[in-house]
Amino acid sequence: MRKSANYAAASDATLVLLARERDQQAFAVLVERHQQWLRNLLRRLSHDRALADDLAQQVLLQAWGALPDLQAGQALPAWLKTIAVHTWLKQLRRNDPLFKLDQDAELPEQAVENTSAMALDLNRALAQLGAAVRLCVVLSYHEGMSHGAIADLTGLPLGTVKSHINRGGAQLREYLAAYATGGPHHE
Amino acid sequence: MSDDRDLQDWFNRSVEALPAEPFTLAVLQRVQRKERHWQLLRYLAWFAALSSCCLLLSELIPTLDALVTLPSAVVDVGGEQWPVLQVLAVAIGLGWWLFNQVRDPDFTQRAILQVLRR
Repeated sequence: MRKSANYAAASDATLVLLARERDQQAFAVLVERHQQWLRNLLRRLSHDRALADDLAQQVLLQAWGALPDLQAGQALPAWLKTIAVHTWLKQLRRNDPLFKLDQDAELPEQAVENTSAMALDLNRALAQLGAAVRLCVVLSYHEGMSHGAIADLTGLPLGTVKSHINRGGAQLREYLAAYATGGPHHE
Repeated sequence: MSDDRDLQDWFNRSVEALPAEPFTLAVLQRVQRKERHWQLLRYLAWFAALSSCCLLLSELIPTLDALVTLPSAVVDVGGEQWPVLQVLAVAIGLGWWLFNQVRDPDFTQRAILQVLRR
């Protein structure tokens, strides 16, 4: 009991050091701390709760195996975010082996005007965006990342990232307006 | 700018509060399963490495010049004589593939796709 309390009070850096030594209790505390943010990020990207949770588990499992690679002083959330984005891209490629992020610039053809009567929640609105646009928008607004950091993480050119965020943001604002007039919709 | 803030607010308000316990348990179960697999694989790898060393030593030690003539040395594999370097190359290749496959279950599939894309 006392040991659990000590773990709960320990910093991320301490827990990472313990988890590197294959301490599963330390890793469990790290999972508890970061699971909500990680699952929300993947829900934004995948708009599928079951898939998002499965991907989040894959991310954490990969992190467990790769903890020795985490450099001292490197922030755990940023590292997990990198793994999460790569896991998500891998999932997209698994569904479509020819998928390439830099060739997924087009927004889907769903007409915005048709959504005005729909009450969309955020995940549904995000689902209307193409995968690359959605990824850039989520990393920008959900994660608060700079355009440069997004370009580094995704490997997309900076100009493409800016364009995706501008276009995706504009489209989301239209959905938001429809959402405000149509009233919120809860799943 | 205000529109941008509205959008940011929408994202902030939409963060779901998710219970940690069932999810953490599921992750830990997968971690434990992975650890068991790794343990088993480590035992197998040690066994294979030791067996290979014994086999090589039993073939190489009787002749004192075996180390000098390693490139032309041969080992008996299933009753046939194979060049030792060839056997080592195949063993290292298989070991490398197995190691990557265990680390990443999609390794083979992605490797094939990469070759096809080229």
